[in-house]
Amino acid sequence: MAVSESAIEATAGTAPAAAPAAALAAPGARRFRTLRRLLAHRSGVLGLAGLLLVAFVALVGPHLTPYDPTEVNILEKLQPPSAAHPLGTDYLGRDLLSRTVDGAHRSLGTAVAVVGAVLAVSIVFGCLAGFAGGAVDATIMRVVDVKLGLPGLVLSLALVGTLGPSLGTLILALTIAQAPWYIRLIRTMVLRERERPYVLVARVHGAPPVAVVWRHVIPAVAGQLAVLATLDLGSVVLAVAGLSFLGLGVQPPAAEWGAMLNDGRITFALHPLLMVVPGACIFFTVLCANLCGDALRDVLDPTWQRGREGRR
Amino acid sequence: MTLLVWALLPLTPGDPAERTIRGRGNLEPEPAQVAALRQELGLDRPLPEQYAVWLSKLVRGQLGISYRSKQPVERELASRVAATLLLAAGGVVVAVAIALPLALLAARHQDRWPDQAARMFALVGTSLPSFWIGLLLLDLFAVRLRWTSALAKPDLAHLPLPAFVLGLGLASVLTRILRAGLVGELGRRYALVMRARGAGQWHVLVRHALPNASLPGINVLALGIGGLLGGAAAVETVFTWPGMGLYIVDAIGARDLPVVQGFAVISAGIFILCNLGADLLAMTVDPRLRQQAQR
Repeated sequence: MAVSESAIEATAGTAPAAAPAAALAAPGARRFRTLRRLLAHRSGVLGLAGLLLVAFVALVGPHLTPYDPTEVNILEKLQPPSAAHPLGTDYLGRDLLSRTVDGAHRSLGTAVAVVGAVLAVSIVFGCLAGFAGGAVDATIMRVVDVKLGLPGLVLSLALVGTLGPSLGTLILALTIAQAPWYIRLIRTMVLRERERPYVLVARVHGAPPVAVVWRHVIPAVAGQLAVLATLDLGSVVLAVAGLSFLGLGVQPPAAEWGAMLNDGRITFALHPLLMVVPGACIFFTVLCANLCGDALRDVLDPTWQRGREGRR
Repeated sequence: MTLLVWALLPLTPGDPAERTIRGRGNLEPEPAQVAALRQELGLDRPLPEQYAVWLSKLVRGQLGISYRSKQPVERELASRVAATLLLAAGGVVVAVAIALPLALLAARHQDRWPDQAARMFALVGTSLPSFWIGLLLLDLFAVRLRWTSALAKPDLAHLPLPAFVLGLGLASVLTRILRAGLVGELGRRYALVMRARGAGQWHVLVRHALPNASLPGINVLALGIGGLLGGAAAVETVFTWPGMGLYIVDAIGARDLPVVQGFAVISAGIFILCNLGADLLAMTVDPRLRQQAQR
């Protein structure tokens, strides 16, 4: 979690000064410029390609796997890699390749769901706090401050412990743990945006506040939010896998990398693949997400120059 | 803060009294038994009163009674807190011991291979799942090399491996922040002047740039300790380190809520103390902050 926190601070410090003004001038051109720059960023392209690969496997893979990932076949348990089972089978005779592919779907899908939920929740509350001000603002920020007083993972553990382990609780717990940072940040961005002349003009024209936020403020801050969300994706994948590893997230028999890793540790000495494969998948996914996030941050940084990637 | 933690309890689905009896092995509790226990645990009173009672006990250092063992939570947690604190302290030491030299080297040889290596380390360190690398290292050192035992006792002899695994992520973040700070400081005018007057590169770096660059590092460290407290759950499970994290995972499995609450309260307390400590440390490093505080 500390990763994301420092990332938020770092991005908050650099980008906002130039980003909204440029977005106002020519949103289309700017978007393409970002994309072009990203494609010129070596490690960024690698990260993006890796992430797309995992996403592709997650979306298409479960339809192509030769075996049902939860099908138990005790007669074929703990088999070494063979033609029938390219990565072997686990202690219940389930096909490791099928489970790994299916796990991509669940691990990445859960992380994306968490990031999406965090964004949705924090945009609503951040805009509400920033735009409404007064008592609404004070109440929201008090709650946020209290949440920030508890370390994110501790809060997640406590919530999962209270509501009982399940996939839904996991998403809820991680969202609640992560959202306060975003709410505070979005509020700051909204406060800055709402003092700008174009917002004033829109309001003078009689646009209701909700429309102003939706049409003008959210598009202006969307770029920075996208960077933050990408930077966070990696740590969320880690958190999902970590909690599932502890038996507090995705419940068996569903295939998820963290939970599979936990299954594999019992037989690790004799069948290392059962633990190495899911772990390597987590590592690869997080690595790609981090590469991608770093590249996006470089690219959106106004002082960025080509050939100096990753130097900041 | 206390309200938030306390509110976890009434939020739970189901009747805690009924669950407690089931937890003690009676699967078909009689309504009378449930009612008696509700009264015993004070669950029949209105919520504000329950909160007041809980809070007044908290002030006296009482965290309630564990549903499972019927022992006071504070006693159950006390020895485990010590083990977790030892582990977290080890993690912090590891993080600083790795990050400080790495960041200094990276800043000294900016854009050359030590810098590249430091960046690589930071990237890999933040991407590695701690429980995975923990299990792999455990297998290597305990099973294959037999240097250490797989069942850890919470003492210094068994500390290095879990502390390394726990501190790795924090080390990466810290390396990155320190390196960025150091490079920024070296670009400032005073560093240039010192170099022009003949001070060595290392002298400028360590004596002058480092204190200036360490402030954000101290903040990251304080926030990171919060992360360590949560991350300890996975690491303690891997190394069977008998700390708070391992205990809390058990308690969650058994839905032992007072223990979960106690864990949250203690973690929050440690976290707040760490932030306070970081502020004080920042003041000793930065004279400007001292003057501000005096005014």
